[in-house]
Amino acid sequence: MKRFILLALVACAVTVTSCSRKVTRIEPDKQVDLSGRWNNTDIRLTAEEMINDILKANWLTNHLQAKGGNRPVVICGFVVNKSHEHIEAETFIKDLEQSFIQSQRVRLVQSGKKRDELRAEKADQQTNASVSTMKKFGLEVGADYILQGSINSTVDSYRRKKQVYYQINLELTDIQTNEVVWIGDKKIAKFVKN
Amino acid sequence: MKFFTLFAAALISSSMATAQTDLAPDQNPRHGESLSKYTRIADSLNALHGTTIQNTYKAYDFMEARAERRDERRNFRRQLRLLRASRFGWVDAFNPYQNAFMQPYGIFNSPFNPYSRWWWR
Repeated sequence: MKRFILLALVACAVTVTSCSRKVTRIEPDKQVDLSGRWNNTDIRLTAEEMINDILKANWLTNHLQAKGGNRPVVICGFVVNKSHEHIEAETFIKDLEQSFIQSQRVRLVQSGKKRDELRAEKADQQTNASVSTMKKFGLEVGADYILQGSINSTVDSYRRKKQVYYQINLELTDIQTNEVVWIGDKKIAKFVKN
Repeated sequence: MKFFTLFAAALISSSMATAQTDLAPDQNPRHGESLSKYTRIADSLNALHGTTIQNTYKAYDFMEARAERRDERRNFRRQLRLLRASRFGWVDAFNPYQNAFMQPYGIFNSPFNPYSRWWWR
């Protein structure tokens, strides 16, 4: 009887340990491809390519020369995802914005809902903050350029083989003249065999 | 009356002159039309700044399409089984002539009766 209980306990222990979930921390830049869908490696590759490209392109030096050394002010517009997968562009746009600030060569202004929140806070200060600390309306920095983008994809599949192609485009446009001063692109092709 | 007409004309001409002087070199004098148009929609458009507009499409994937067909088939069979169970009789999903009038109820038409299918076909 004792032997039977012992065996049952061992069997239970083996079953529990084999079915338990195991989670391990990995480096964010480690390439892990599970399904072939858009993943963190694609985000990283896109961000790296765009950052390298946008900060070395001619638009920056042209602007600095034309404006007497004044750094350009950029606002982030929207990115249209026209691919077959749900992709959040914010994941690599934030890296790009971070590079603007870290490089100290491009100024960035807040946009979208966050800007609305700032204005709402400013409005609140008009009635609640002390006069000396109250922030005024109408003193925001106007952007010189707007960053917009699009994500496109094509899929070709037959039986267990699939080829997926992503093209990510970012464009920087002069708000005053509508002139496109920079276009960056990242192309990613994947072959998936199920 | 004459005075008022002259006054209005002077006012209009002075305002036009002011508008002319406000123009930047080579600026389109009708820029105000565009300004009034886009001021109305600026808030709704600018709220999307910094976001991703999801305009995705469904790509054809051989394996996914096969899995979807299989799920659809299983779901159909399940619904048919439920219908047969609820009606306590044989339901032929592929017989267009079968209706409530023709459907015989009772134990003779139960799926357990091997002769239940053929006599009304």
